[in-house]
Amino acid sequence: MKIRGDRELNTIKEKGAKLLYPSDLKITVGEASCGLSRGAKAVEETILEEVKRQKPGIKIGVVGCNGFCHQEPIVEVIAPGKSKITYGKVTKERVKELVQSAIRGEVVKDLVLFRSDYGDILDERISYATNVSSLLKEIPEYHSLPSIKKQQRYILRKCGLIDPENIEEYIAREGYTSLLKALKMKPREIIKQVKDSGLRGRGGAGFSTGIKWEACFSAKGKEKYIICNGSEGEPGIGMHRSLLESDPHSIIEGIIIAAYAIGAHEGYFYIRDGYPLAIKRVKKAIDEATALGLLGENIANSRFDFNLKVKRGGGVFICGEETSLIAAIEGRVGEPRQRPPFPVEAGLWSKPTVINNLETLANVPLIISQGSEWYKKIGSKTSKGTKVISLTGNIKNPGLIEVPMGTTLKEIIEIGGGPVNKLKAIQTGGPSGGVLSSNHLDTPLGFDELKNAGSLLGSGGMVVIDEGNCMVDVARYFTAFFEDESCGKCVPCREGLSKIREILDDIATGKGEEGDLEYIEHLAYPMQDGAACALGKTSVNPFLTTLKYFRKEYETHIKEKKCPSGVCKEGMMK
Amino acid sequence: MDGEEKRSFEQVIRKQKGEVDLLGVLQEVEERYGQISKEALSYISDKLDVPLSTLYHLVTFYPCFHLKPAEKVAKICVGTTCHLKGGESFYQQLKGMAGYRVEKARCLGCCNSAPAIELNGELMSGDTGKERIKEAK
Repeated sequence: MKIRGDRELNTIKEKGAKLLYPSDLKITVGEASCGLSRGAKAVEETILEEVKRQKPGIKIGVVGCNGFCHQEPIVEVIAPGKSKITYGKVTKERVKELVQSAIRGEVVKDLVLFRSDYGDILDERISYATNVSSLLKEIPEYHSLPSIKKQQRYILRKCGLIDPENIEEYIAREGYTSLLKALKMKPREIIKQVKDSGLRGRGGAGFSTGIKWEACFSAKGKEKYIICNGSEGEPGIGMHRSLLESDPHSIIEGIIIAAYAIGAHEGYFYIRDGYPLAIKRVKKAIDEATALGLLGENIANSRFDFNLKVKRGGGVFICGEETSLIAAIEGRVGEPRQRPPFPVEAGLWSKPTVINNLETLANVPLIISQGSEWYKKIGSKTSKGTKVISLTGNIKNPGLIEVPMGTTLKEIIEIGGGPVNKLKAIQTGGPSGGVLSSNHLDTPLGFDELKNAGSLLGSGGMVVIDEGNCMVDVARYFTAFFEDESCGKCVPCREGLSKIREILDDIATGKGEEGDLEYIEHLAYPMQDGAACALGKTSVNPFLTTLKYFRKEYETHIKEKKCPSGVCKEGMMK
Repeated sequence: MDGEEKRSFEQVIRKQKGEVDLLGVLQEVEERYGQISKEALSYISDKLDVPLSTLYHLVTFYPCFHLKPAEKVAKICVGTTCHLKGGESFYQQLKGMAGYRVEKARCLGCCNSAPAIELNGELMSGDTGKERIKEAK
């Protein structure tokens, strides 16, 4: 069946709703990378066996990541008219008991994380349970959890709920309604909505998405391209992988709307190498959307044609930079080039091209369905909307969260249950970002707010560093990362980084000398201006920010040959 | 290179319509054979009329390509979280392990299992990885 309008979409919506909330018992397993790395596949297989033995007919579903990565593998039991029960840290050995109690309508108390009495589609509620039994009342309700109360999950709202490989379930949760709405609008109206919403690029630079689209829309030339940047290559950031693996359609819907707005008929979904599951699920999603007429020729009977291809990256960090990314798609070595001309004028194959981060594009359907006025109300003064944050490092409950812009760093750390030991610093924005000390915890989340504090929002990774970590080691780690990832094209980045890393190595191994810090500072500042691309310019941020807030720690390494946190051992005094 | 292999290369190349997607061709070869052999490089160079040096530049620039085959692959995550949780020393322990190609990975995207490892395509925590390697011996 091809979707030609609302009628067909509603038919599929009903089908999808039956899959999501069947009239029988249903058990789901979270199978994004976080779950799989904890043995979710084996748990699913054991559930299948158990169900076959105990009560064939129970539906088994696969879903993505619900954000509680520290509790994986996660299993959910959905029974009609009853609260949904979520279990954490389920092992193969506990499956038998779990299936048994699901059939009996009971609960395995020591595995249960929470119950959900209702689900939400944006501000609307879907009720699961008509009345909650006294047995269940003892279990905390999902929406009352402190970590959930402080979040606003819009981009992640379907993650962990729907089967990422089933378009019907996506459509059942309002999927592709924004696309049908957008196709009835004029491209100019869409661009105006996106511009008015205040949406800024989630890849790191924070440029206005609407202005970018407008520039490409007005650029001369009939052939235009849209590229979705899914080149998350930063170490320690798993949120985009999670979104790709848990809800690929929301990104694809955003891409199609963007393509229609700027007048592109061809697009590329660039996904970094090393995310095989994400690539598989996105490909499946594209096939499903094509089969329903949501991609390809005459999309939803609108006379708009658009094809989307998946491009796998080559495993280099620099390909997140837009001109390098274009080079990779064109089959060349991913080295950046000078801008201007900007890709909106001369991008892929020298044609006008919009490159948007995947999270930016996932925001688009939301803006179209709810309107820019609604969207504008979320967030801070200059940064609108929510931000998906990958909360990792030495934090009690690492995971994937989504908070409105303007939330303070302190609140974000609280959502993650606080640091394991005493908090020392927080690293934001991936390696290109910087380190903020514990005095900056009141800084609100936002592009300008974090920049003013000396760091970056970047693409939203947050690494909690506690007393057990050494700042010289952290700086050395990031500098070595950049040295390795530098494409070698321009001198400041290539030579500067290796020199800085060498001296940091010396400092960390007891060979530091007085004057070393001044010397590498002297090298680092010109790199911020002199390097050819954003990678080189920001590569010294980790070193400069750790030095700014933790100079004393560096000096202890040099003068006393001591590492206060005990991380650097070689050549150090005890 | 035998006849069968040549035929499958031709299939890979023929699948590309319009402008040739050079990286795509190389990636497919890598995926099928776990490496890009010298023979494969010169064959592609001939077939697509691309200088061998260009191909060599590409396969040595992008870490997703390998010039040598490996039966077993262990990718150890040294992303930020895994670094803070001992990924580097885990890598040092496994480095040079017989029968394996041991690689560093920038981020396997499962910080909840830090230090994480991808053993022959399967993601797991470092501890599980160690057990698996022991069992396989």
